[in-house]
Amino acid sequence: MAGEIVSALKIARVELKKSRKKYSKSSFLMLILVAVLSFSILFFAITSGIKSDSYLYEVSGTVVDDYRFVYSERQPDLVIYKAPGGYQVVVSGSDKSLAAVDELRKIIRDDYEARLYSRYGIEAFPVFVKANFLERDLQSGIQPTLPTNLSSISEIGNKIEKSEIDLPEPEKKNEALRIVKESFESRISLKEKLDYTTPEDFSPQSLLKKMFLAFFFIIPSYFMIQLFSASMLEDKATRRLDVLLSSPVNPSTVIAGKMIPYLVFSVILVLSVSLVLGESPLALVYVFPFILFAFSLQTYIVLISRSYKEMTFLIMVTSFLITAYLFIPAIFSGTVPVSKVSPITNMLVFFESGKFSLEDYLLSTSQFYLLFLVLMFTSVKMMTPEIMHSTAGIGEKILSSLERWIKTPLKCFIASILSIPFVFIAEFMLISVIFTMPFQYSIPVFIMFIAIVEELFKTSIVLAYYHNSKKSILKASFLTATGFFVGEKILALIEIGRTYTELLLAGYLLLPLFLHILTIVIFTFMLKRGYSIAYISAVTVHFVYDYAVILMLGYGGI
Amino acid sequence: MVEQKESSGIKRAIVIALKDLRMMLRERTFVTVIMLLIFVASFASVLTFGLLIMYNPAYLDIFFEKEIKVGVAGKAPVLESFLNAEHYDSLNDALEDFYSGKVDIVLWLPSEDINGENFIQVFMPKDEITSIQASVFIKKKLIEYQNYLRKLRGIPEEEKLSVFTPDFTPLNVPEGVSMVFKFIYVVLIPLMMITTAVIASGLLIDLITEERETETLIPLLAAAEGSEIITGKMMAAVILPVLLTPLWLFLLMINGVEIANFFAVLSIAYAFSFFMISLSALIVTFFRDRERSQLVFSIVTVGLMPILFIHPFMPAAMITRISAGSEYGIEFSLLHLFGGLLALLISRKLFRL
Repeated sequence: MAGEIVSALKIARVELKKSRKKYSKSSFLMLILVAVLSFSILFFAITSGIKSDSYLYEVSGTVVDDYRFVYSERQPDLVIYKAPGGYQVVVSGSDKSLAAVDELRKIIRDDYEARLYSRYGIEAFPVFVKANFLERDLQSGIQPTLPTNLSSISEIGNKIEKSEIDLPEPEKKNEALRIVKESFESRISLKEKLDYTTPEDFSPQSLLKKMFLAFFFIIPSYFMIQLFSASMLEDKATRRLDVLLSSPVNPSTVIAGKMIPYLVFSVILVLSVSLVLGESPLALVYVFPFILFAFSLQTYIVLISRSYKEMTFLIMVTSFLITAYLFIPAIFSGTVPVSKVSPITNMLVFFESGKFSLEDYLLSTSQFYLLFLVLMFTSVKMMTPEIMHSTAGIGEKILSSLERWIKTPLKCFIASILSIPFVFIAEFMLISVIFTMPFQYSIPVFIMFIAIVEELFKTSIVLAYYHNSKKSILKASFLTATGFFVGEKILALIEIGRTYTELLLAGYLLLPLFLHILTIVIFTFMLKRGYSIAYISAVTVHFVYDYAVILMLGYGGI
Repeated sequence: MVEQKESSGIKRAIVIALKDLRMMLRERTFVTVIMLLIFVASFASVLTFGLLIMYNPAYLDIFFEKEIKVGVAGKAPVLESFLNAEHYDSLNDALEDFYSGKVDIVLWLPSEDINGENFIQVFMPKDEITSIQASVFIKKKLIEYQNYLRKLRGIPEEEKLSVFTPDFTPLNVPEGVSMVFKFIYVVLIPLMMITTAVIASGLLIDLITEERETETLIPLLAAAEGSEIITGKMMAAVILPVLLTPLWLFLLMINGVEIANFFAVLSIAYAFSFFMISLSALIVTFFRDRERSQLVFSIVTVGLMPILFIHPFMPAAMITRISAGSEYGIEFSLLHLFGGLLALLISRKLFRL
């Protein structure tokens, strides 16, 4: 073990030397210059404000003094007339004209508020509001129950009563004035204060505005990950990796050694960002598992790619997807429990409340640690010249990586359990996308995609085993199905997973086990006719089963 | 003789470009690229959906039909009359009912002051969809309450905006419709333009550095002139956005998005891709290897992107306006295209293998 660590550190040193060679003084200076210039432009752009909707709406009749509106007599979106007590607007009927009305309404409202303030001062603002969010225990997803005993409710109530604004009249006026003034200042603030606002500014609990903050923690690490994958690809293309692999060093040590310098720089970057933004360095604890996962994913992609182009595009797609997976749940923070699946939600909650919840942390990050381990394990198995330099397609290469270790029925069982985090991510992303479709299509489309994803993972495991051995294939299939079922049940133990598995119809005792066994046995019997036919058969049966269950459960309107 | 040499040079450049594009087809990179564009569009719509349900009252009615039960604690008779709420003398009693699910939201105003300032605390459920519906409902009611108090103080009402169709029928325009419209034209279409340009530029860097690093450039130089190879590689990178841009525009149109001034939109998108390809050509000339070139390209792209949105004549603002049907400054689209082509020509001259 100690020997492996020493070897990994040696490889890390060589990696650093290689980089030092590449980044000579002049090119390093150039790089710094480009970065400084680029970030200066970025800063300038952010402080200048977004104006890409300038002159978007064409109006005639009355001039609207706003950058979004332009006066035009030729086919205007709106014709505006000044009328007693307000305005009359004739729309052209297009979506753009309706959007223009919506914008105009906001402009009139803001103008009204500003005029009231200048004419009547604080007297025109009689109401201030502050939101408090209290957690209720949820059972069956919707109906709250009484979880807190009466004394603890009293404690909450008394605590809040004590914190009530109890200021003498002049100070109360000053406080009101401050809130109104802040409301009129349209400055961009990354940190939102939880305070009283006017009713117009009152908005539901959301960390959406703070998501910018989270981006600053993640994006710099992407540059490091990009450098790592580029270096790794270069070593693969120039066959330096082959030389390393022919030495007595373990493939896992090779990957670890190459990864260490970039990982260390990523950590330094995250800590620097927290320092610059004045946030807790504990942010690292939240983003580190994701960074690990991103490193392992790019290692895997480098190894399966046949060319630079292929790698670049695969990395683009996967980086986009995993970033979306990381950030999308945070949009719904505070409204649905599933938002806690993202460490970003929990990091922002931590920034806001200062409270660290170990349960939420483990819930959101364990998947990334597990994904990292699985991807690293599979990558290590792929570190042979036959697979790395093979001109076979990506699908075949992924299958080869599975074939390297799925050699017994028991390993089918383990692989099946380990596939659950991947299935979870794929299906979660599908839910997000399909959710925005019209309801009558979304459910059947969603069920179809579930069948496609789940059968893809299960059948790949069985196929990998089948290529290694044709003996005990039924046993292997049975264990694959059972492994999948066990994985789903583990997921169901987690609060978030419970909602999710119910949604995926996996929560009905042993019924899902029956389904998984049925589809995989059909696949196994059909395999002699070719993978495609066998896979389509399994997907079809899976879809029909799920759809029938949905209809039986009474979603007849679908 | 010179003309013949030139035409065979162009032919060789086309052969090189087609070879690279064929390779991309074989590796199904095109499928990956199209998938990327679809993902960008899909997840952008998820983001908008999130924005809609969080900030837009009108859209919430589609999803929620549950009636919000409100409790008011304290002495606030006027506020209570606006909310049709359950009255509680103490906050503790109200919170008790909140936790037992009898009320969804509690408002606490210890003592209402018709002539002064009223600081109201609102208690809503955390991590429940009800809280979105509740906060939207309460916002609406509190604005009504504020307007009432203003009226009592003799403050004039807000100016009314009456909307009519072209045949003068009154029309109710729901709050927040501009959000969906702006998402499509201000976010999605520029995002698709940027993604296409970044893909094409990244491709050029890969096409060049792969030949350099795998040492296939030397045999290639034996078969064709350096300038022909450069033209061929740039041609392959240019063909990609030339094909992809109309493709995503048609996909948007199939999905019901109206694209006005199609050719002007195409000009701006092409111009931006050409500019980015030129930029990547210069980067790869200077930084030589893939690692540094891609890194510098990423850093430059991050810095450059927001610039596209800050001025009315920048590409993002232009494509937004023109695709949405506003013709202000449409004549500049040709200037953009000309600029893009010029950038390609200059970078082609400066490009070194």
